Amino acid sequence: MSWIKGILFGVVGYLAGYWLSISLGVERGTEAPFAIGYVFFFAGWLLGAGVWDHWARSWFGLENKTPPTKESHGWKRYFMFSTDHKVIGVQYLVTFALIFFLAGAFAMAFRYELMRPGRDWLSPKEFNTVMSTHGILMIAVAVSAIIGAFGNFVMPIQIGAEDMAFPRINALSYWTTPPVVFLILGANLLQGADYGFDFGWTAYPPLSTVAGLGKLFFLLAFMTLGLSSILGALNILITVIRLRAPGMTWGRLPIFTWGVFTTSFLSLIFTQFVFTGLFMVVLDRVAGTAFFAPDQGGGALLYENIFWIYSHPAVYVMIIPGFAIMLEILPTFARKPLYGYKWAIGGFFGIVAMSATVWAHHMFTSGMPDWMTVPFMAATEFISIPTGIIFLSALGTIWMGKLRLKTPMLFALAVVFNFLIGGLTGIFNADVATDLQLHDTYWVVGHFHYTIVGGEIFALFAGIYYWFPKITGRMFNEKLGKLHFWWMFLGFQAVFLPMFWLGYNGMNRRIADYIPELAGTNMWVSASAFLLGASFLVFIYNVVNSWVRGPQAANNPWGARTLEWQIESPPIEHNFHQIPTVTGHPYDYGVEGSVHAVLAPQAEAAD
Amino acid sequence: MSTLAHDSKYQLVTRRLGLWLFILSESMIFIALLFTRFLMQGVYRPEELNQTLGLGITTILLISSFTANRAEVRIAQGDRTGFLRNLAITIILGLVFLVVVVAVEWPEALHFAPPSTGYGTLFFAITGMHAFHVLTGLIILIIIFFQGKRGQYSPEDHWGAESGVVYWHFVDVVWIFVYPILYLFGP
Amino acid sequence: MTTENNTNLLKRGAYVFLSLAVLTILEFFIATGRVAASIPLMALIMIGKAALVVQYYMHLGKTLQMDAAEAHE
Ligand SMILES: [Cu+2]
Repeated sequence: MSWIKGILFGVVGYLAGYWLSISLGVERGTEAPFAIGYVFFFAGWLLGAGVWDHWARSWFGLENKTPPTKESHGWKRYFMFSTDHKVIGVQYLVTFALIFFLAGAFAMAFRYELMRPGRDWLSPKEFNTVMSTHGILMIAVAVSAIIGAFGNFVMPIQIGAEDMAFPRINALSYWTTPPVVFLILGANLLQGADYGFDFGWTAYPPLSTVAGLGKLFFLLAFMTLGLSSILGALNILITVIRLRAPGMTWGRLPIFTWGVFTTSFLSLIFTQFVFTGLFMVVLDRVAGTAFFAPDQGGGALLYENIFWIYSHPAVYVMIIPGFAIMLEILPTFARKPLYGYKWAIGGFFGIVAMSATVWAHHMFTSGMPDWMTVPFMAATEFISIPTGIIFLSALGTIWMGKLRLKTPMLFALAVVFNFLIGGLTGIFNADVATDLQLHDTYWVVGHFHYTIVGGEIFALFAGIYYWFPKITGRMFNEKLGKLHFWWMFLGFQAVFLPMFWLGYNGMNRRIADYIPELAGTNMWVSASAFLLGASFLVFIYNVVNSWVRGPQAANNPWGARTLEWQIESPPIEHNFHQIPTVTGHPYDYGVEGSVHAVLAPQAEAAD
Repeated sequence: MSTLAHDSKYQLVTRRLGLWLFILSESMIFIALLFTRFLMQGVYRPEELNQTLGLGITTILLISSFTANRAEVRIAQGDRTGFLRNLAITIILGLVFLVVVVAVEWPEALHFAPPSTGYGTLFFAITGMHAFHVLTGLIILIIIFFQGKRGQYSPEDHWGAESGVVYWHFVDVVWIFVYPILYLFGP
Repeated sequence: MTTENNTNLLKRGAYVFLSLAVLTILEFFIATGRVAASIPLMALIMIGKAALVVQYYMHLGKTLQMDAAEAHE
């Protein structure tokens, strides 16, 4: 099993790296030998997880072992270095679902602390670490879950490919993620002065350059996550460019594929900035450099610039795939062509193009030069134009449609509703004058939970329900699905809507305490949060139960037109018996005579 | 199943494009670091910096790029001996570069620009990040060398060798920017 | 690819190397010789050098051309 062998090789690597750095004269007891040790751990982990067996042996004149397949290893291949895009998609989906629930549990923990003013059960440092752990794990979910799960499982089938362009790199990008979780949880298990990391998910210096091994854990984890994201993006871009089936022109590409494709540009290019920024912090910690010493020309503002050059585009890495799932699902259940297909793609590209020009809107209160504020405010407000076009495409699709309100459709409609609130409240953060009041308050917390959870995570669940029959070959329980939807939807509103009010009345984000006047509302928010958390029990029960003994699913239960629905559920290895020929648009619902694709058996019959 | 995706020529272009996207992504690290150089220190450069030594190692890396190119042409010709000879020279030059940077350049720079100063921070971070890429490039080239020795690579199929060489050129291109920006720019 | 073609490639590699060497020395003298507007000049030279390597050693143009040629097939 890849997990055991990976950990074994990783530990050996760590010891080797530690020993090497000590014998090269690195001071014992500092963070440097640990950082070097981690690099070796990481290499060892990857080698053990499968890079050695299936890839690196050939570098040394040995025969590579063949990757596990369904025939050779059955269900065990899900715990191995499989190069099958569908297996990797499921690995991503299950791993990040677990991380999502874990991160949710951390949120429950600090919501319990915030139930009443004053200190209840977490020390300030514990509160900060619990809050930061929730943040970074959720960021990992938001960045990787949709792209990793459905970008891997669905996208290659949608374009009529047998697999990704670089299957081994694909496996590598999945096996890069477990060390992230090891490190984050490891930091939470440390004791004493080394315990945890207390700087939120943004890791601003000077707080992030203060001693404490847990902080180093965090920085290394985030860098590792970046690596995974870059490799995944590279693979997706090349796959879409090179492996489209005959006739799958750019104008016929399904909208979900367009979404992950455009997103991948952002991941590929901008992730390196946050990698570099975190690398600088690591250097300041372990090598004694002075990037963030204010008297040497650098300083905290330098970090904030580099960090947000990535982290603003990163919010589009999160939300564009969410929009894409929404636009994929709406036409299927409205039985209408996708409204403004080309405009929606233009919207994606518009966001990609503009996303690098708005980063400093996170820094209005950081002491940046005054002349910079207005251009960044204007740019931020302009970026709502391409976003609005995507919105228009969604509304135009459901307009006068005959909506079939199945579970995936309910979630997709909720994305429209939630993102509307998230988008409108964002204007107040983009505007300099109001942001000075609202910055770092619960207003911001409410805003980005409405966009990312209300937008992307709802879309993630829409996608899970939508593609569940395709992935598992079984049908989920529709009643429980609807129950989960309404429970989660109402719980979500109850938690995050009052946060705007809290923030407006001066409740600070990331602070363990607040003024007593806000006690009642916080009690409400915490109680609702536990309720929201409980809604996922319905989901887990439904999914696990249906996966094991749900009724057999039809190949195309939703009557959708894209390619993944024209093949078996679950798909065979390499997806198609013969590569299909694409002949028309994917979303011509109700358009007479339009055929999206011809699959091999029909083509043979026509001959 | 035979499709376009399995056609070896088509696959070769796919791999080349993949490598280019990787290079594009890696360049962003250096773009970020080199921009930081200007943000932190403008074009300031300590007087003691040894520009001639810099010219020396630049030349070494440049020659190694030249021989790497020759190695690639040789294997495309089917001339294995020429390929291995040129590759060996490239590897030795790369090693010399690395040793000079780490064992001569760095101890010298520690005196007038320690990492606790602004310029020293940039100097060590940027040359260090570059040296790391040199190191990975060298490991790749050494693996390719022994694979070539075992009889791998042919005029028709030498993607492994080509990709290693292209990566090595990328390391050279990075230095083409690093050298003037760190060593030559000045008030 | 014929052998003759490859001899040309070897020659081209040498020319590229010579140009790079000349440009590097030029750069060095601009930096040490108190030339006016030295930084823009050096910036131009380094971009030119990088373009030479990218085009003739790393075959970027050829790769993109091959990609475009396939698209028309
Ligand atoms: Cu932003």
